[in-house]
Amino acid sequence: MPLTFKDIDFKVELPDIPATAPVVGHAAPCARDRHETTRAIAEVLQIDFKGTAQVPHGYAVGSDRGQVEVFSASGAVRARNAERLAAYSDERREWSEVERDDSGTWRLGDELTRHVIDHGREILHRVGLGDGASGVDLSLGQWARLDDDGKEVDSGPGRATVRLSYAAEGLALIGPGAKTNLHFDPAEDGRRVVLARMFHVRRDVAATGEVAMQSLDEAFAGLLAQSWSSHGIREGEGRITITAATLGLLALPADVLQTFAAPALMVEGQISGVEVGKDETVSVRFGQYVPLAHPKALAEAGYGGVQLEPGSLVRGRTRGQ
Amino acid sequence: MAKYVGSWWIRDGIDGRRLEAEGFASTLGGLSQFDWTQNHGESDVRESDFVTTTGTTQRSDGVDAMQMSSHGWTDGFLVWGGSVTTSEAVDFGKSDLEIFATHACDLLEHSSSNSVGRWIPAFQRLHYMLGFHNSSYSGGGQNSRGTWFAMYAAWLYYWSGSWLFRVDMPVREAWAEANEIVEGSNVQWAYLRAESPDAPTYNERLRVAETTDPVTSRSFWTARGTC
Repeated sequence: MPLTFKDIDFKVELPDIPATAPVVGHAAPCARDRHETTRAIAEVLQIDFKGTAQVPHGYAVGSDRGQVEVFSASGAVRARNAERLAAYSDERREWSEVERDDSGTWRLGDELTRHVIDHGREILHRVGLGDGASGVDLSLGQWARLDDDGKEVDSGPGRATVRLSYAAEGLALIGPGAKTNLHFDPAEDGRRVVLARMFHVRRDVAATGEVAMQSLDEAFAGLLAQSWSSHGIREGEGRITITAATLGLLALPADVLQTFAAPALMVEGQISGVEVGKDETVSVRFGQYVPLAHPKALAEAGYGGVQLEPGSLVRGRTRGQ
Repeated sequence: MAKYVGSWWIRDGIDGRRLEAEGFASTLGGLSQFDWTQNHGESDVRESDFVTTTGTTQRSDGVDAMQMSSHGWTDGFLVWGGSVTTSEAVDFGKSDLEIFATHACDLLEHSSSNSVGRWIPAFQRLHYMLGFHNSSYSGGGQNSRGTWFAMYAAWLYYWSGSWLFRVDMPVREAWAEANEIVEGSNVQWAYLRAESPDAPTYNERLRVAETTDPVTSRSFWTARGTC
């Protein structure tokens, strides 16, 4: 029996969903605009230029030592120093100032955090990226070593990532397609940092509009329609628990030609009562983007159309029939 | 000798989940260095592909590397009609499988209260489990995850422009870069790897021909980072 909206428990407070919300239109990127940026990034990453090549997602410059890639669909830029990616023999990174909180998570000290973020911003200024960010923070990679019995015998901090986030029309840009990440390893003194790789994607806003939102019942219909397992949900036992919900404009991955970003909820949670055998159920976790704008309202506002996903079969009439 | 790769997928209403897994295998299968030999979807995704089952060939061992799309949680993932959990006789790589990659949510969560060491008994000759520390997403353009993983792990090394440059990165970096494209920064990629003194795996490349398997005097490393 399919689940209904009444089967959802919200363990977090849902953000206020307005009756209408902004939608932003994106202009097609111009790859030529990235010419100076790619040169500047190559210099920062100490990548020598052997040439430029067309790749399936755009073009790339560099050499075996490292590459800078430009995504033609979005204007996104990705770069790496390949030698630095393989410079260590294991996950350990020696930072000069680290601490471990009560949950066992490693963090850089406040002063070192500020130093790394400032250095990241300097790099972005040099390469002409990162303007207009709505937020910045530092995320520290975590590692642990376990023995054959699964017991943790050591742990520590890994690579540090300076992350920039973006917003448009007062709403956060959520999803994979609006962020800047700079991934740093520590230099020998544990304080200075070395950029190993980076990724930047943020589409320019060319137009804005307003669209009517769906009811939450309608918005969650897609999530509720999933069967989760071949046996489905055991009758009377299925519950969806929402543990995180963020309202924003959904920015699609860098390899997608996105013409507009519409309101969506980014939700996480778990569903219990998933039947996996006789007298046996499990609870599975999920993360899902729930579209909030009604497709008809989007079309009426001039943002209609569907995305043709790679691999989709296109069927049409043969000429003359 | 070509490396064998495979794809296992359950759509549950979102065809992108099939594309994720098949994208990995089909991208590599286009190279002469790889053969896409196993592709199993929906009702053809069986528990016996991963759990030792008397009288049944464990098909995941017919490949060197595989990507799977299925729902998951910290202790297991779904197959058609059932599940594969850490409480069962899960065997990854009894003879061949070295790389197991999946988007199954939270499979590799590691915390002080729930160690990812729960998956260690599943490691036979396996080198890497690649997945997530928390929930990965669907419905927002994640279809190309497997294609990107294959591109960075091998395709852009052997590609037609390799006379100009080759993208040569460890399998763990390829997983991180692939997921950075398709996931928001709230998502954390993760892996669990085995190594031994004669089989270091930290900088292992997917493209390299058969390497020594870590089977004796092993230690295990887990790591995670932001997408």
